[in-house]
Amino acid sequence: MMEWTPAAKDELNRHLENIRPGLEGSGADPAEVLDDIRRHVEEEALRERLSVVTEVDVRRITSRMGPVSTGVEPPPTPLPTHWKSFVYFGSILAVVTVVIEIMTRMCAGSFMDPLPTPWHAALALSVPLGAMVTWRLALRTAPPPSWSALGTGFSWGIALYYSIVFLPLMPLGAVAIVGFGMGLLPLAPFFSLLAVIFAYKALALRFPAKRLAGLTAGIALSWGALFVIELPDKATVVGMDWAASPEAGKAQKGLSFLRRFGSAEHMLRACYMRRSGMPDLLLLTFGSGPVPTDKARNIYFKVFGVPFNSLPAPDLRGRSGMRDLATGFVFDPEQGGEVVGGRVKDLALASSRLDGSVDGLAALGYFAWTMTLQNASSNQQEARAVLALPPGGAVSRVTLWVNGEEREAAFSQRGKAQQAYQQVVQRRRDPVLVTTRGPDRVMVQLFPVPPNGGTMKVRLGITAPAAALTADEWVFQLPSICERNFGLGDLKHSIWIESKQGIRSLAAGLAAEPAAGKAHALRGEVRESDLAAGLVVSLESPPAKAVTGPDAFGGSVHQTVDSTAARTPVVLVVDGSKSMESHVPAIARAASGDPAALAAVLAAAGDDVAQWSGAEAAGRLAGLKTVGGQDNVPALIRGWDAAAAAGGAVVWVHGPLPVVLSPVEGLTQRWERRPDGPVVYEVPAIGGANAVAGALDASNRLVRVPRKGTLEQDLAGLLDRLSGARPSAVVKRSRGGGSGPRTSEHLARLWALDEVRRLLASGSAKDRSAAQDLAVRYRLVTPLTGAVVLETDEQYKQAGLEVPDPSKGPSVPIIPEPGTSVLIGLSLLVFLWWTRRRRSCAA
Amino acid sequence: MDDLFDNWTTQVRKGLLELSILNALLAEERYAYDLVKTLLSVSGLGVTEGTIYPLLSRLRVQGFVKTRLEESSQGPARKYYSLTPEGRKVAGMMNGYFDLLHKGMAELRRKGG
Repeated sequence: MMEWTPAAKDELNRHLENIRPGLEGSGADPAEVLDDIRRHVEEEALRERLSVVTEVDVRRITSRMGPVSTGVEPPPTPLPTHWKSFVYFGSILAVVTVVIEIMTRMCAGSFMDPLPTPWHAALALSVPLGAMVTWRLALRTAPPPSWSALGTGFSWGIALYYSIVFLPLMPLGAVAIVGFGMGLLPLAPFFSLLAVIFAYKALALRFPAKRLAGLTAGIALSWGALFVIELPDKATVVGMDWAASPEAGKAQKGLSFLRRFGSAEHMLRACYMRRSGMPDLLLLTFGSGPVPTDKARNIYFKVFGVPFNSLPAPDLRGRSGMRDLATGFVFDPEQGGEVVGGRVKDLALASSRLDGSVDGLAALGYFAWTMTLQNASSNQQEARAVLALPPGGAVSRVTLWVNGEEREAAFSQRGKAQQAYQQVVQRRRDPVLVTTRGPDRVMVQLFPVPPNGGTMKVRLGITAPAAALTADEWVFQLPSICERNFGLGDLKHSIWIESKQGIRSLAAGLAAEPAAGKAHALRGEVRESDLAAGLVVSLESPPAKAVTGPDAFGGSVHQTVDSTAARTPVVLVVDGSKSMESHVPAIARAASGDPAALAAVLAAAGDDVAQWSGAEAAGRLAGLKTVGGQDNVPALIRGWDAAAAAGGAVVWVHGPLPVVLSPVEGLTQRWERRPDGPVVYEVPAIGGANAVAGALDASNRLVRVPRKGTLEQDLAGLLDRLSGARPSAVVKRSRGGGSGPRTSEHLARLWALDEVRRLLASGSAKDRSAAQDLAVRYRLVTPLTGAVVLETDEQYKQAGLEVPDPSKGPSVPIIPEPGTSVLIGLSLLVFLWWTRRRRSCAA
Repeated sequence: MDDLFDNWTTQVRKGLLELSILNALLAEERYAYDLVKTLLSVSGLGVTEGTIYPLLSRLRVQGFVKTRLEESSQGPARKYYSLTPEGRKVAGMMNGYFDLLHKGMAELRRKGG
């Protein structure tokens, strides 16, 4: 039953009384018309299902019925011509501006991003749409629909918002128009606001009864819509500001907030120094501002547990979902620096081949990794990568193809090599720099990779010992890419490993290749993901107990292999980052094998360190909740202390660690003060960066464990070896004569590498200098030395470097290329044919 | 130009409004509210509820339409409109005239084109 309020009844009566005079003398029966209108109002109220009819309802319904008259409505009031011009010009300019911005991202690249999401673009386009619809409604004779003022208000609100945002740019636009006859685009929001205002004026003039019905609500609705679409970005700004705070509590609050509500895209843009969004007119950030790039990268890792550069850079200027047709060049801020940094657009690894030669008797190998980088952009770019070498290995040769010829690197003191590289980078010539980034890791920098499809080809020679998993099981883990600033696409590495002794690989990508004579070979095409996961080549038989090799600087080097089985208490340190989620059960299973062998287990988890005894460790580990990216350094320091107290070692299982979240000085100090302190065995669960290891560059007590099988198998094997259940191998190299088969000069390099590490660990300036001289002499990239290839002899001299002369010092290690082998073979055949012919002629 | 068009459409609509009401009632008797909404939906006719009710009343006074009330359980009594014989006759005459006029206009356009 519908109920009428007294005010509603009064309103209706008042309305009817008002129209009665107009009906007198019209030929109609006034009483009947008034009765009809009353009935119509009641019918409308009934159809709107109103239970209580109020004064407002009556006003709304009678307003909708229009003025009561006996004829048609009078001709509409003429609209001023310039109103139409404003509406059309403002609307068209707005559409053109939005389309140009989407196509070129001109404003986003220069000032701010006015269309960071497709939703922003839709709101911006609602302005010309609203203006045109309002104008058309004003031209119609029929009254506009009830939502018209609401829609107009919505467009009005959006146009007002963008006009305020663009207010600082409007003078520039005006000056540009006067000076250059162009510059309308910054004025588009203002003209579109005028378009909406004039369209609304026309509507209000033609239909006064409709005036203000919903206009204010429409404006409020538009700002509400802006609030909703701006909220994720602005909330992320606030969260990142908190997370970067020096106050631990606030930083933790920021991280928790970002993990729940943060915009991944906004954070990635902050890591890549891309502009994001518009000024904060709605004051959503409450005074918080953007954080510096290095902090943004740390926060990204802490939130997601993966390196920011594991993802390609966001569109140059736009956000996902918005087209980025601009092919403009983005300056690479890390160029010539010491970090890999973000992915660079249009730079890719075009080819990669790894040729290896393994001496199974001496348990050493030499690997030549040849890479060609290609740059599809229109500017020169620098390629940077951190490579994981075979454990215990070092780069012993670097060459660069300059004008089609292979040019050798100079090995020198690290700072000098870096300085030479930076000088040449500034002059945009052809250098390559190789420096270490922690044990068994090097950073390679190449500049410039020429633009427009140009290539740069480099070869790294790596001398490496085989790693003993047990006294009987020896493997080489092949090198891989930990971090890179270039793309890979579908590239596969071409691998070919040869040995005179038997070798095998369980990797699906590598197959035995029939080789000439008694040689063995493995070859295949392997994806980077397989290489990074741990691809090993195993020796079929243990190496000789003793071997000797020549030393180019006189005498020889002797190597002996013994086995031992000693029980070493183990402190297990587990990275609790999100990337480890699927690996935690395997670690728990491996740890449950011999709980008595575990002195303690520590987990960097929940932004803190959890510590358990060996007995309870497996159960607690299985329930470990991984989250974000964890700081492993505090857990390592506590692990080192626990291992030192127990006289044991640390086994550190971790995922990618792209940033150092707290200083490593605590660890380096412990190693410097106690050079014989606990060894830290590093077991990467998955491939990727390890910035913590990079910061521990000079340490010889951080040992990377080759990954051969599953994490559980490899970890259980290591724990067995440390517990003494399986024998370990002890390799010693020394100068001087000895017995056993002879091997190559690489043995002398490995001895030199041992010596450099030993001298470095002592910490004295004298030993450090001796270590540096030794590394330079044996052409090794170590924490003290780097390798740099420059284009001309003159550049070497200018940089104070000795011009590389492969004839001096140890011979340049080579692996014959197929082309060379074929030539040698052909020459031999020709020689044999010629001698036989001579003999037959003589006969 | 806009003013000329606006004035002209006003005159045309004025002339056609009564014919539209009579035509809407040619086939059957119609409930007032329904009749009004039908006329409102005719594009270009440019009428409002406030315009139709006085016209209906005038046509009733002139004897071209008649009305009857019927009680409704859901709301106010419903008012139904129908044509009287005079209304039907004048509707026929007006439609005949309108068709003739429309045909002449079409012929003019054809020859003019």
